[in-house]
Amino acid sequence: MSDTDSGSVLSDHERATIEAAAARIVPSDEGAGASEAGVIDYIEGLLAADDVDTDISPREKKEYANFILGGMGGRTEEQQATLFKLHGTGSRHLQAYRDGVVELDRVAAELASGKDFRGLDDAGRDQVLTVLDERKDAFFTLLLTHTMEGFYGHPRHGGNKDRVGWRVLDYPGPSFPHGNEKPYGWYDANEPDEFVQEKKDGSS
Amino acid sequence: MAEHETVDVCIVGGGASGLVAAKELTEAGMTVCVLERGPWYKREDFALGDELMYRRRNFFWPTVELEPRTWRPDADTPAEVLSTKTQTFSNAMCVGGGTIHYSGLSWRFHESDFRVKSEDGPVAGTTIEDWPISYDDMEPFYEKAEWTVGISGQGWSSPFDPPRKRDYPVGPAARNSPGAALERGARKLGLHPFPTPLAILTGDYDGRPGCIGKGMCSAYGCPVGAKSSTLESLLPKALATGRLEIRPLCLAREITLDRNGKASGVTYFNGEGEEEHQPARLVVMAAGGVETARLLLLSESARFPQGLANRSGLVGKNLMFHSPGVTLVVTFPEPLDGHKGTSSTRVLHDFYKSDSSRGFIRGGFMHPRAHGGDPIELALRPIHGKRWGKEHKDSMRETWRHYLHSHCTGESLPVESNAVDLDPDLTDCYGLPVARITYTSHENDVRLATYLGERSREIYEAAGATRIIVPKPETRKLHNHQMGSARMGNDPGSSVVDKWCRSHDVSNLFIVDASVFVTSAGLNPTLTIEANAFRVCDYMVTEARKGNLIH
Ligand SMILES: Cc1cc2nc3c(=O)[nH]c(=O)nc-3n(C[C@H](O)[C@H](O)[C@H](O)COP(=O)(O)OP(=O)(O)OC[C@H]3O[C@@H](n4cnc5c(N)ncnc54)[C@H](O)[C@@H]3O)c2cc1C
Ligand code: SF4
Repeated sequence: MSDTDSGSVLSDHERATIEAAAARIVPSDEGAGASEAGVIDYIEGLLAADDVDTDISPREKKEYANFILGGMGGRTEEQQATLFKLHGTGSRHLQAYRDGVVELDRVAAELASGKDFRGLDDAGRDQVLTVLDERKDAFFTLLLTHTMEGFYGHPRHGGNKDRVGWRVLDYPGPSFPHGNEKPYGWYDANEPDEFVQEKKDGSS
Repeated sequence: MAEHETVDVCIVGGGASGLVAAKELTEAGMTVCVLERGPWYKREDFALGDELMYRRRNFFWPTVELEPRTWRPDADTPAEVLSTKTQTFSNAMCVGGGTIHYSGLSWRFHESDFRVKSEDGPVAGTTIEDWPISYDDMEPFYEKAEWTVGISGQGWSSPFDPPRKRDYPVGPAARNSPGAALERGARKLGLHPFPTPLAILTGDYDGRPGCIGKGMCSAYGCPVGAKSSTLESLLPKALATGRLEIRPLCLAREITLDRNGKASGVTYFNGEGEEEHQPARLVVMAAGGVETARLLLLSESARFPQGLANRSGLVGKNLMFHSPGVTLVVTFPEPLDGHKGTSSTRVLHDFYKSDSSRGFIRGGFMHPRAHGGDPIELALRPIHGKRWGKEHKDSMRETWRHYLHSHCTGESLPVESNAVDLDPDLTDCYGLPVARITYTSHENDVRLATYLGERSREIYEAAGATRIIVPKPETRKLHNHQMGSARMGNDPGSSVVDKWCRSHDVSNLFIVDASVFVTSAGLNPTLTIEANAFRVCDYMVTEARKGNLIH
């Protein structure tokens, strides 16, 4: 799902605009931002799922559902793609993104006489995004949600490359199969514990 | 329609209560078939620490697209389809049900919880009643549940606990920093924090290992086998009898009747979406507080035009979700590192006892929780000042290692108009009307929720928190504790099942999930669901041996 150079469903301009917007939602600073995390690849993966006709029989829907749910070892990427197909997620989102890019460029042109979103500097881009945010624009919320998912989510979905999103938080990531040793945090290390844990012998 | 061979018992739903019944009845020699609409996951399926897959993409939960539910505040308002976010507040559909992803808080209800009307009633606008059973009737089965399912805790550590004869089989979970922070504040205020009893093993027990403190526990499955889900603790025992057949991906659509008005089996959609019929001498409903009621209502017939076992007209009514308890977000100056360990390790019951001078009756408790390790969830919480940009990112950095969320769980009073019925306008992917939920919390519930939120604030202030966010009670949500929709009682006119959870109307139909709860208590319900299922099965086995149930 992280294939970036072949079969993109977005035009170069659309892709670059979304990438630039995501980079303002989680900006790069002393730590990585959306650009380094590859958030755009995560988003493209979501949009690339083509849809099945949702007007299918319950029987067919059930078959899809069982394929998706019956997975061993967690849901595979293929199964997840099928779930998206079933829900029509891909094309719904793709259209929202296409319209969203047009809107970003339109607002940009309004604010900065004729420039498109990519033509603005960081401050200008922030201004455009603020306009969308303040009017509770549905596309902006979608983009924001996907950017957070692609930045802070598990790398197996194409974003958070090299766990850069987790590094920003000083979070080592999921601990299985090792688990965690005590103490866990400052308070359990330092606050007296009156409930001493004794191993019980299993009798009453 | 394919017709299977007759079994002694067909159980609908393979979650908490269903697998208690499967174990108890197969061990007593009965042949049992469990129909479970979800898949049969194994431990390995829970190995990926993937917030996106498990939490945000409905791994466990019915999806809004295939199996939606609708909600409305009252009968005069049009129902709306519940969102994905709300839908995840229903319970998992898979073998093990809600016990796969639960946090495992495992309470015995207090003695007073079984006699709410005698202690506090009546209350206008509610249908509070005493249960037809008492704590004493339940006590041996609580003990059995604790030792069979595998509950960790420290007996007699809470001064508010109801009497117990025996300690927990394993000691309490390692205290996490949210628990230690609660203790710090609570002690300053003279309160009595104690270790949370959990369906999580802390050492080897019954062939399973102890918890490795890995985090991602609540809302996730346990890849270690330490969480005492019914999948881990009970199913292997039931399978070992050789008398259990479990059929995953099979959705029950109707309980069928014979000529005499007794249940004759269950019709269901198999994994291919085709209808099959499982004939059975006894039918046990264990599909959860919403789906059990829905299935009874779907099973209408000339004999039961209002739905099966519904001569009282009460199937679906008196639904309880617990008070609309608030979730506080609290940050501390030192790291809590809430991505480690199990979610809840210390709790407080100081505000549990009913005291009408507070302006409401009944009570509840608070439990600070380690967040488990869900950064997307944190990123999308409206607590960062800005939703995006540098300010948001810095807030994420400051908050991540330093925050806990603290839940307040309180009793909700039964209200007859709070109900599950069949949505007249919407069907699921099988073409069946979906559950429509009509729900508005009683004023008492809202006052209680607000009170617990404020007491929590005081505790975290005393503990030295840097930031405490107490939201308003959220009344618009579906909760994962679903109780009361087929209440038990002695009078067939005012209850659906008798004290043995046997239908007043259909003598070979039993209900073992939380639908039968008369009142909700202010505590997570699952240990009580399981203990009650053990109690009901004990009765079924005794009656069957006398020849009174299965002929
Ligand atoms: C995140 C989370 C945390 C929780 N934490 C706690 C906690 O700490 N302590 C606690 O006590 N409780 C907790 N709960 C609640 C707990 O999970 C439930 O109370 C419990 O699982 C209910 O048991 P049950 O037997 O009634 O139903 P379930 O366990 O929900 O089982 C019902 C089963 O029936 C199946 N089913 C439904 N309809 C049909 C049908 N028509 N045909 C076939 N199968 C069907 C479902 O798929 C499901 O598997 C939590 C829930 C959630 C979501
Ligand atoms: S924290 Fe412990 S009980 Fe919970 S999932 Fe991890 S190992 Fe299992």
